[in-house]
Amino acid sequence: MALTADTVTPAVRTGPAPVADPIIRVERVGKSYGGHTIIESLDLDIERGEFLTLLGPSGCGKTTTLKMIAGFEMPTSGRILLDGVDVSGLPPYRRPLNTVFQQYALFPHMTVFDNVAFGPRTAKVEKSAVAKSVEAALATVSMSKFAGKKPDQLSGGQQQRVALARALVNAPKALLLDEPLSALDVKLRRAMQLELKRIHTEVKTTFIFVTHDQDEALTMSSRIAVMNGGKIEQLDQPETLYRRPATRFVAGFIGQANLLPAIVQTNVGGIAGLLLDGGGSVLAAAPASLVAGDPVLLVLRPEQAALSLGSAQGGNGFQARLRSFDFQGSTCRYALARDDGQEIIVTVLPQHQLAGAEPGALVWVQWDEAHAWVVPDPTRQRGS
Amino acid sequence: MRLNQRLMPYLLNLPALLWLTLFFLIPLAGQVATSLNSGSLLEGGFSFTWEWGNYVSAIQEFGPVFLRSFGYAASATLLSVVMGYPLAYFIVFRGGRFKLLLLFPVVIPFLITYLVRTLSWEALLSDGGPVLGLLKQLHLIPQNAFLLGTSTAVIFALAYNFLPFTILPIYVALDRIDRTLIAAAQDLYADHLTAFRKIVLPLSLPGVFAGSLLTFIPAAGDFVNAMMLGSPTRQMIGNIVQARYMDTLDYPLAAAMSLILMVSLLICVGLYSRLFGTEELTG
Amino acid sequence: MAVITSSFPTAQRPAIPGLAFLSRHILTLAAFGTTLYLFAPIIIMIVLSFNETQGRFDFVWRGFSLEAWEHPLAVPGLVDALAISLPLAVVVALIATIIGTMTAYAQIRYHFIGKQLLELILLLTISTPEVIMGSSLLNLFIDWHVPMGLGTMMLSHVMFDIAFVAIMVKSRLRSFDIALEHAAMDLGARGWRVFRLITLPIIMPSVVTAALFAFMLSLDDFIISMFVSGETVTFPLFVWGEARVAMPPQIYVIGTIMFLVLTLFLIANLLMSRPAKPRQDAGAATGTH
Repeated sequence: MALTADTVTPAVRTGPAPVADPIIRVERVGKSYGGHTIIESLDLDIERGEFLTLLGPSGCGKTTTLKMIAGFEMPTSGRILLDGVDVSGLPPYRRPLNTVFQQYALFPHMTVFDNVAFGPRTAKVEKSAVAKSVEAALATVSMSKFAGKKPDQLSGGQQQRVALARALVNAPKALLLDEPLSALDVKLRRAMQLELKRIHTEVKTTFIFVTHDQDEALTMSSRIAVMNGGKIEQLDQPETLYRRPATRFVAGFIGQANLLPAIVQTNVGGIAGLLLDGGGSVLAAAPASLVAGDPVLLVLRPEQAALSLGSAQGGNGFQARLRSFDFQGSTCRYALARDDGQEIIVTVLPQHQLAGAEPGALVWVQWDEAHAWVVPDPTRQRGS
Repeated sequence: MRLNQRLMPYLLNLPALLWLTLFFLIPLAGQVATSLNSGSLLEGGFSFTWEWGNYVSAIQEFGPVFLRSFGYAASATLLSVVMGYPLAYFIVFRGGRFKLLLLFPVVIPFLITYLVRTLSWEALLSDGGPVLGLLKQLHLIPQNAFLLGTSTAVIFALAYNFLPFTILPIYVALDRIDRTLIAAAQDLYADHLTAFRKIVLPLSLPGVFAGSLLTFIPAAGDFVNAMMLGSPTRQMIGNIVQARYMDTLDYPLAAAMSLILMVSLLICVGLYSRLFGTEELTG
Repeated sequence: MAVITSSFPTAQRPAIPGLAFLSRHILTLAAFGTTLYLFAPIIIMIVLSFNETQGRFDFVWRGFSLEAWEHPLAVPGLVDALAISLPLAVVVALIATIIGTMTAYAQIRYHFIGKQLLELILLLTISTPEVIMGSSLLNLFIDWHVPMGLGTMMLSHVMFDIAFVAIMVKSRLRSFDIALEHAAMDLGARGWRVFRLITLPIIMPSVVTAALFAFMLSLDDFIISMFVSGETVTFPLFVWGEARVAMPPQIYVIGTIMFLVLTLFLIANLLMSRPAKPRQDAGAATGTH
């Protein structure tokens, strides 16, 4: 096996590559409750001004990480640096960070104005300056007209904006958002996603966002950290995560994917030749670190394959039989199965529907080798 | 800051703890000591002599009084539950928007000062009063019938004093029941009575027990109702203790009786906590 | 595949005519009966307050008279008794509310050693019969040579009020959204400021209710006061004295007044703690969600 930079065990850090002058550095942070370890060792550098999303299923540790950055939890090991300063032991009111809570946590007995003014007043900012900042913050979130209202007179979306203003008015070094959109209905969510993006561009503050909704993450983020079981599986820009997932989990979590087990035969110039477990030689783009004999999964996204009726027609692909077909409006969804039982989903545009396809019919599935990807399969040993 | 955080609960609890230790725990301990005293104030004061005889005397002399007290308390509790449960059920399930309004009658006993409560009952149950007077006029009962001085009067008035304590926990328990459970039962062919018997009643039992306990315990120690509505031949423990303390100054015996009462009630509370936890009571 | 038979009970219980009607209304009747029972003493109290002022054992209706209402404080000693009980109750309520709220907050927000023990002790103060508490306090004060009077009563009343306040405030704190305190901390506030500006204002209705309750309990206390009052005459003790001699209707007048005042307080409290009007979900309709 060739020795490359990727296969050498790093001495100190694992995970995403470090960033020069990060605004926040999470350094080998671990978190355990009682005997239960949620996070073993997490490394994360957050760039100034970016919109970073922590994405993952519930229990993956994303909210815990956010809470540790905010100061509501203390790491059991490791440390957290803010602008180079170790803040790991500091309580929330000593950190120049602000949080938008999941249920907004607006103070019900105070008006919108008083809610937003709370931070500055606590910091003993002078009265007229407070008023100016509050008005500016409310203007940023388009809530100026509601300054005199109480939270229970506002709708969900409006409350959310006030919560945002209340955090932003303090000009924090970074804004932490804990699944703030999960309580909103779908239409409102989409609108708020775009709003948040706009505000992020306007105020230029670093946003650290937590969500379990991958669509949301893809829409808003400059970078996404996909987390699973207390680890960051991949930290990259949205498009990279989608087109070049690093692990099986990321491939399955972001978007839909068909994952077909295979063994690497060749890997040259970024294209790997694979022998599918059910038979058949195919090509796909692959990371340079894979070598012949590695057990892998072919990542074929449903929209990246093309179908034609009948048996093998040359080109990069494999044979399968049609199981069922669903018309879904803007796409047609084909469920196929190979002889070894492997199931594949392919979606095509309505104009590319297969005419006369009946369940049981032979179908040829093919794709452009550059549009598929390969991830290592950790569940199988080499040579098995 | 961390140290402050650690100390904070203790600091917050300190006044309460101090107050309760000084004026609850220590007096009780003193009571234990006194109960083991002998002698009397007339003969030069008391001395601590491990006089267990006080307890023996207490039980021998006043055994029936203990039984009567628990009997009255139990009867009053039973009466409270029988009267209170339907009202609580009515408010929860038929109250609709007026639920909170309907709770007003429930707390009425608390809104009348204790003695006036008892005096009102004396008036209500007097020989010529509204209840007996009316029944006598209608010749439904003999003209020399009386309620004052009977156990019935005491029990009725006793139940009244603690009815809110009975009803409120039952109300809370009933209110907590998820209505969809009843709907599910009905979907599975249960009629109203069966749904009540098999779903609502069992789920409301913790409330019933909590209410019963909260009623039984203070009722057992009460003596004012017995004093004003009962007769001298039917005294409760409280009467004896009060008389011994304030009139005959027989502190050791009174203390012994108090403690016997206390321990019996503690056993009840303990049994209850074991069965249901303290959430229902302190919640 | 096994055949599943329907469990629908084809043999229904025979319908006894009128049973449904009866069972539906028995509940209402029972509830009504209990309500009557609850109201009875009040009605009597109000009625007797209009009784003519004369003689003892006046459960006998002598005639309608407004005299007691015109001169409610005419009975000698009544004013003095009230003048003692009312301020005492205020002081007791204040102290008990502060102490009780502090310990309630500690119990809900923190973990500490002896938590269960403290809860048990609080529970005991509520469940111990007053005759036991009263007699043991008498014992204590005698042993410590403390003169009986206002002081001893204040100490005793606060003692049993703490637990009631604690229970009521704890119950409110349990439903208090701790995210609000977190938000305040996130915005730079710490400890006392968080409590003063956020927690306390929001739980205030419950604290006021608890204080009201403590006030009532002190004002109304008879048994414990009987033991530890010495020569001091509180209102309940005054009534007790009067009841043994001759019951003036003024007592019922005062009772009625207290009842009305407390009812008003109750209503006021209920109105205060009702949730504010529901929010308008303008949402997508107006575009300014």
